Amino acid sequence: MRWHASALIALLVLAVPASAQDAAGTSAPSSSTVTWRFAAGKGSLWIRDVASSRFGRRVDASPVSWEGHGLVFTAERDRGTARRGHHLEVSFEQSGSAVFRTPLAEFPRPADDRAIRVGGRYEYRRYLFVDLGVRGFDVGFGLQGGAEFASVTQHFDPSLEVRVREANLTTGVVVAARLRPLRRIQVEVAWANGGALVRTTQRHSAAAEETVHDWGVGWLTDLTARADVRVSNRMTLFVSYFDTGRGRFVLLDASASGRRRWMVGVSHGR
Amino acid sequence: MVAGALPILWLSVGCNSVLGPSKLDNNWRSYDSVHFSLFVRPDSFAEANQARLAEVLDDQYTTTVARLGITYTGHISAFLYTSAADAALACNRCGMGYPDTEALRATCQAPLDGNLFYLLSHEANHIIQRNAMGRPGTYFMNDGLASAVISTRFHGVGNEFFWAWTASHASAIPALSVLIDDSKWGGTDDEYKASASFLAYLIDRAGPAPIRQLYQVESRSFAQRFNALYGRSLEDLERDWRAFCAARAQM
Repeated sequence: MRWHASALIALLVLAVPASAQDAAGTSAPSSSTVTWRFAAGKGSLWIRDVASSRFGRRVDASPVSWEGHGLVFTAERDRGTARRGHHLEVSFEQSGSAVFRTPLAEFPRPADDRAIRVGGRYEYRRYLFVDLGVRGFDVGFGLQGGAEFASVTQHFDPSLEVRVREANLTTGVVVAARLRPLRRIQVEVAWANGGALVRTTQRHSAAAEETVHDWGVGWLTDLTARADVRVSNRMTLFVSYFDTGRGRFVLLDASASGRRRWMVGVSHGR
Repeated sequence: MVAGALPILWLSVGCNSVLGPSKLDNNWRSYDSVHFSLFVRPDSFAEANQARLAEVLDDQYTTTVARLGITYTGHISAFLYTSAADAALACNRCGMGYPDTEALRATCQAPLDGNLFYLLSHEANHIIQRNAMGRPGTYFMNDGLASAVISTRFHGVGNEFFWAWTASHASAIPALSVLIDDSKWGGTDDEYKASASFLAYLIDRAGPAPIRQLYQVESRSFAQRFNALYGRSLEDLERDWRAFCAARAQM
C-alpha cells in the first residue's frame, strides 16, 4: 500500500518539473556543482521494546526507555544544480552512558551497555517550486534509499549479555523546503517517511541457541534541518539537527526507537 | 478505498505519529519491593493494595527462577494502570511484558483475586524468562511457559488448575502439533491454558533442563528437537499428558 503513495509522488517528481520550472522563474544556475560536507556532533538514542506484538495488533511500547548518548560523525556529498540534486551521506554514531528512563526517574545501566550505528543514504531531490510566494523560498520532493547496520548491547543482572544486531534496507519519500533570506545564508528542512526491511540477529550469553535470526519490516520518519552560512566563495559553515522515529515489527521482538543529533560542520564546494 | 487512503494518511501525518509509541506520562507513584518497582496511579486500587501485589510478585520471581533453574537478578518496573483505556490494552485483565527494558504494563482493577495475581505473575515471568534464556522460538513457549511456573502460594491458578482445566476441556484443546505452529497460533485463552498445562507437566516429569533447551526452538524444528531432548515423540507425550490430566481429575 505504501508503494502506491510513493509511486504517485515519484510520478509527480518526474512529470511536473517542466511546467513548474517555467512558472518558477529563472534564478537558479543550471551548471552542476559538487559540495562536500563533514560534520561532528552529539547524539542520543532511545529504545522502547514492544515485545511480542503481532502484525495487525498494535501494542503500545514499554513505559521505560533505554537511552544512550554519544558522538556522531557524518560525511555528505551533493551533486547537482539548484533545482535537482543527488545526495549521498554516510554516518557513524555510538551511544553509551546508558540509562533506563522511567516516567519518574532514570537509573544508570551497566557501563558496557552501548549501541553503534553505521548508515548510508542516497536521495534524489527536485525543487519543483522555486521562489514560492517569497523570493528565495523553494519547495521540493525526493526519493531516498539507504542501508544501515546497528548493534545494541545490553546487560542484565547478574551477568547476562544480550546483543541485537540489526541490518536495515530503507526507502522513503522526502518533502523539503529551503529559504535563502540573504545571499550568504540558507536554511533547509526535510521530512522523510518510509519503510524498511529488517534483519535481526540476537545473541544471548545464557541461551541454549546462542544466536537467533529473524526478518521483519519497519517504518521511519526523519526530520532534518540545516542552517548554512557561507564564509567564503567555496566554504560554508553549518549547524544541523536530525530527529528520527523508527520501529520494527519482528516476530516476538518488536521495538520502537528514536535518535536525535545536533551537529556542526563545514562544507566545501560551489 | 480505505487501504488506499492509509498510506496517504501515514505520509501526511508521518509514519511515526501513526505507528510509534505513546508519550510517557508522569502521573505515577512508585513503591519498591525486593525485585520490583511498582508504579501505580495516585489513589488507585493498585496503590491501596501495592504491598500485597509486591508480595505476590516477589514470591513469583523467586518461584520462577527456582523452577526453571535459571540465573536472573534484574529489577523489574511494573506499571499498574486503572483500566484498559488507561493502559492502551485490549481488556481490563490484560498485560504486556517488556524484557528489553525490564518493565511490564497491566491493568489492575478490583477484585484482588487469583486472576489478578495470575495476570501480573504471568507478565513478570515473560521478563524473567526471556532475559535469562533468550528470545523464545514459538508463541507456544513464550506464553505457555510464562503460565507453567505460576506460584500458588497466594492463589489457586497454577498447575493443578491447568491440569483440571485440561481434563474438562480435552475435546476442545487443539493437538500440540497445532499449538507449536506459530502460523496457527491465535493467542486465545484456550491456547494459553493448554500450553501452560503441557509445559507444567513436562517440568513436573522431567525437570527444567530440557525446557531450557527447547525454549528457543522454532516451529519448523520443534517436534524433532523435542524427540531428541525427551527421547519420545511429541504425540506420545501428548497422549501421556492428556491421560495424566484425566486421571488426576478422577482422584
